[in-house]
Amino acid sequence: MTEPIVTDYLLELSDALADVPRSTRVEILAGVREELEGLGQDEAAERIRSLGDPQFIAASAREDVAVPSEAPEPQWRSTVAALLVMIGGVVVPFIGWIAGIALMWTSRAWSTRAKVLATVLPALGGLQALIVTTIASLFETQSVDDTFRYPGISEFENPLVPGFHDVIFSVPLFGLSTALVVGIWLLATANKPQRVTGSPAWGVIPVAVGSLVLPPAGWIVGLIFLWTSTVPARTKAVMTTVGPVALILGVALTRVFTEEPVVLVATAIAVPFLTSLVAAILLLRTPTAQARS
Amino acid sequence: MTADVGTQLRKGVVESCVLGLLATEPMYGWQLSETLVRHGMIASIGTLYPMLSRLRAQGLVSTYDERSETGPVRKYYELTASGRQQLSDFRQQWASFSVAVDDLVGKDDQ
Repeated sequence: MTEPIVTDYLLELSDALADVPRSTRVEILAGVREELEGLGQDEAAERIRSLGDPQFIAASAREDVAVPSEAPEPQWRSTVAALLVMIGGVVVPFIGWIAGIALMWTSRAWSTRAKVLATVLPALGGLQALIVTTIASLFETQSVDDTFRYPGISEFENPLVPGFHDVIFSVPLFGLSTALVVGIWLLATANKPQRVTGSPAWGVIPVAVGSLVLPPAGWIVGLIFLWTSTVPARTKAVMTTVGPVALILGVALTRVFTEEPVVLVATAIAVPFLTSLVAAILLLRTPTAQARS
Repeated sequence: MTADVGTQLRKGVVESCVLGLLATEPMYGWQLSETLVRHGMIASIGTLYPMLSRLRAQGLVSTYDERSETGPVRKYYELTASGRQQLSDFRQQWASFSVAVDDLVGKDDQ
């Protein structure tokens, strides 16, 4: 179990090192972490004192990285990778996109978080389309049930509700359009310094907000932010489980009272969001309270 | 001004000091940092890691992971064959170099 003062110190150090080249930053953080992990509160406090102020560590690191330890990467690599991710799937279905993703992973122009996001987002776009059309077909079933009262009409299709063929078309279409947006985003962020990992809010809030804005894809994106952030393992575990548990309990409880699909879908969105939000706020409050005491 | 002179001097030799430390035994980051800070060779652990990655890029040191008795896995640094060679070159030159500097700068002796 990592002591809270260690977590706080690592977060502070990570923030202070934000503008230090990524490879150096990762090495310093790993070196300090391996030294502080597994220590008791007092030992950790003592060692943190001898390590010194994060700002001072960052200043000495900046001073010393004038000589680059890695050969710079040619600009075209990241551009080609982003373009392939963007339209590779249209030119040579699937394989073009795979090539883009492979090239992206071997490039140093993006952070690991950005690479994970870029890889799973198109699949999530497809998943989102699948879920939305499936939920919409719930409403369709309802309208078919209503028609049983009229003899002679056994099937009734509402043209505004997506059917099976819409799913076939919309899933790849969503995947492709997401890949397009992801490619543009990769182009824009290539070789830009990343400075989001430091604050714990950046790990926790996206899970809650994502579950409201675009369930379930937004929630999964939120999880990627969470697991690539430096928040403690306990926070990651709580934020990951709280949504699905709230969803299952919320829907089960609502079904006791009503089977109305509109209410069920609203519950499925609102309850996990509110629970995640409360969990996020509580988890964000705890470390600061401990730091002050 | 004195701090400036010290910084300039350290820059030239601190990497060789790391090689010298690693010649006695493989060490992990904290051990190196603690020893070097105690001797006033580096300001903080922040100076150490850029230097270590430079030494590694030059093939003078290599790393391996080992689990410590307290739990965490530590990254140990050790000298490579060319690191040993570099160190022995430095040792040879340092002796005559320091004598030459002593002769040239003289002493504060009034």
